[in-house]
Amino acid sequence: MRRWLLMILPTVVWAQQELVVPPGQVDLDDVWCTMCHEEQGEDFGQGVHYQRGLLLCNDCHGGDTDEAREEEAKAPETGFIGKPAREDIAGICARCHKGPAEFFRMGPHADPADRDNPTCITCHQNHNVADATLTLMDTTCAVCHGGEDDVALERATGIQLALREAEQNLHVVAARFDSLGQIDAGLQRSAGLLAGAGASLRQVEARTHSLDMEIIDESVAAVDEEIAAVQQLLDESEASRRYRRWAVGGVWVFVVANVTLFWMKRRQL
Amino acid sequence: MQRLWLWFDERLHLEPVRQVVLDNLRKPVPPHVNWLFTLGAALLLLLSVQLLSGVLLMAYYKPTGREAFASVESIMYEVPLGWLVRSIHNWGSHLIVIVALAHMFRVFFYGGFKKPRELTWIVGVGLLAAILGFGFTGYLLPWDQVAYWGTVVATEAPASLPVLGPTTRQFMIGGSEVADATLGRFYVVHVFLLPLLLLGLVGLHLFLIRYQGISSLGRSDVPEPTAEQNRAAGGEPFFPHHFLRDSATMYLTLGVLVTLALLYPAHIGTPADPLSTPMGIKPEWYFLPAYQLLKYVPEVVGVNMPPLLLLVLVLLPLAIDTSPQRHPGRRPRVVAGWLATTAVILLLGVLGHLSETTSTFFGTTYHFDVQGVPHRVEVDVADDEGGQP
Repeated sequence: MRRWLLMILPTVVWAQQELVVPPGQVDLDDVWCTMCHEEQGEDFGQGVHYQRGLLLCNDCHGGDTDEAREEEAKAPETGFIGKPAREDIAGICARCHKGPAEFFRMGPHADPADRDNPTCITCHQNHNVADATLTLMDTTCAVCHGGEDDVALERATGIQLALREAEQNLHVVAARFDSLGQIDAGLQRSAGLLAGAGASLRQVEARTHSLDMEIIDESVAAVDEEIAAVQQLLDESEASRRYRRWAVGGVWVFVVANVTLFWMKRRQL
Repeated sequence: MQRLWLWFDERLHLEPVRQVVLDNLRKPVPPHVNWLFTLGAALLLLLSVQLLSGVLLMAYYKPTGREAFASVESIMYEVPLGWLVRSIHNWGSHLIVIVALAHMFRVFFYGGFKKPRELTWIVGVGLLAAILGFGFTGYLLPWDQVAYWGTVVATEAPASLPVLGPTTRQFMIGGSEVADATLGRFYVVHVFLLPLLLLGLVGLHLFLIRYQGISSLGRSDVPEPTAEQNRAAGGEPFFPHHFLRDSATMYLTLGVLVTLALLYPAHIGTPADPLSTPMGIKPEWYFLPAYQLLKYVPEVVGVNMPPLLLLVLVLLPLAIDTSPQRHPGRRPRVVAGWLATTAVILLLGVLGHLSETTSTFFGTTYHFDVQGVPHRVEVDVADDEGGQP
């Protein structure tokens, strides 16, 4: 029995580590590229591009993922480019990420000819692409920038703080909107305002690639204004609810006064 | 005031009429009359509020498919106090059904429908039908998704009747689909025909009540006590004694109605879209039993049940409960039948409410299928762990 268990244990462990194929996505075992580029395939399988069912190898590298023969898979008519050149990387990412690419070109890291500059994949990884969050800056900026008085790191921290604050404000206002929306159905008409603030914030996230505090402050201020508009709406809703509660009190004073009057009148009869 | 009265009296000789009215109003009610006998007054108040708030809503509501939803939105968000008027109208429609049923139960258990008051009862059943008709036609008017699809479902049921079914449906909705023509029809029925019917029936109901007086608790084949006998037994005059009690109930009802409207304003969903059916469409709560019944029995049977039930109510004093006994304990079969029917209707209503929903009871989550049968879907983790030794 124990021998049996020892025999199946590695199978169980292996099964648990096996890649999760998201619905609608092709199993990487069926992608011929991973036969040779096993390591890249494993990394790619963990990344958001694969896990969200968005991309396969050929979307960036060209080629035919269904073709087993190397010559056919990498034939020029398949658009095969192999490993993209350093200066082409931003352009490839920009096919989908237009906003971040546009602001990246405005930033201090824009020139791909300068070998000291990072490209998209320096921070976001090439195959195991992680979700683009603010925490990414915690680890990536410090790879090149350092020292206590480093201006670049200070700027990165400033960007993170500004965005985190806006995110936090939006989160608070969204929670309040949800809870008030349960009792004030009219608020649903203004759900677009809240969604709009969220969309604006996502646009600011793209603008972080400019690493320009002026652009970011301006954008965050615009988001804050949108959040404030929602906040005002919620304040008005709460105030109206408060007035209505007072009105209910008034109604019952009126009702009780009249009922008492009728009761007294009845007793006198 | 006195001079004004004299002016009219000189010309129309109203004094004898006044005397008759006053004599009638001062007629004593039987001594057993209590607060339960004020439910009719509460109903009268609610109907008046519906009439008034309905007239106010009519000033802004536009009964066309293109404008109806927008006009209701404008009532809710632009017209000053429009939201309050609509919310009062909305809550009033629910309270009316509750109070009407409570009033009907009171009359049933006190045996007030028995000879010689069969007509009052039958007119009352007509009033109940009119109230339900108001609910049915008014449901469509906001022209939002729930209203639209609720009406689609409700009007599909009569189509299953043999021979006349499809024609009946077509006549009801003015075409083959719920559309502009349906809205127009429902609107006319809701704001003109039904109010006309209601006013007539309420007038007749009140006249009969005042004309015949409140029934005694004794057998219906024994002559009822005269006014003097009622007075001698401790009965108080209707006016002002019982009227003051009625007034108190009316004020309390108004308080409840306005409180509900202020704290829980009426809702409006998304505009009606004939091309997209939303999930879990259900009718108003008082139509839920009929809606649920249709899932268990053939449509022909289910569709006929609600009108059949109204017919049974009409026949109650004429053919079903004809014994002279008024006390519920002395007519056990009819009371048992009434209670059993009520229980079945309640059960169907609860099943209708729960069907196609997921709810958690005592830590266990159930999905209630179309027929209201619960299927356990998941066990609450905390409870599960807590249950382990």
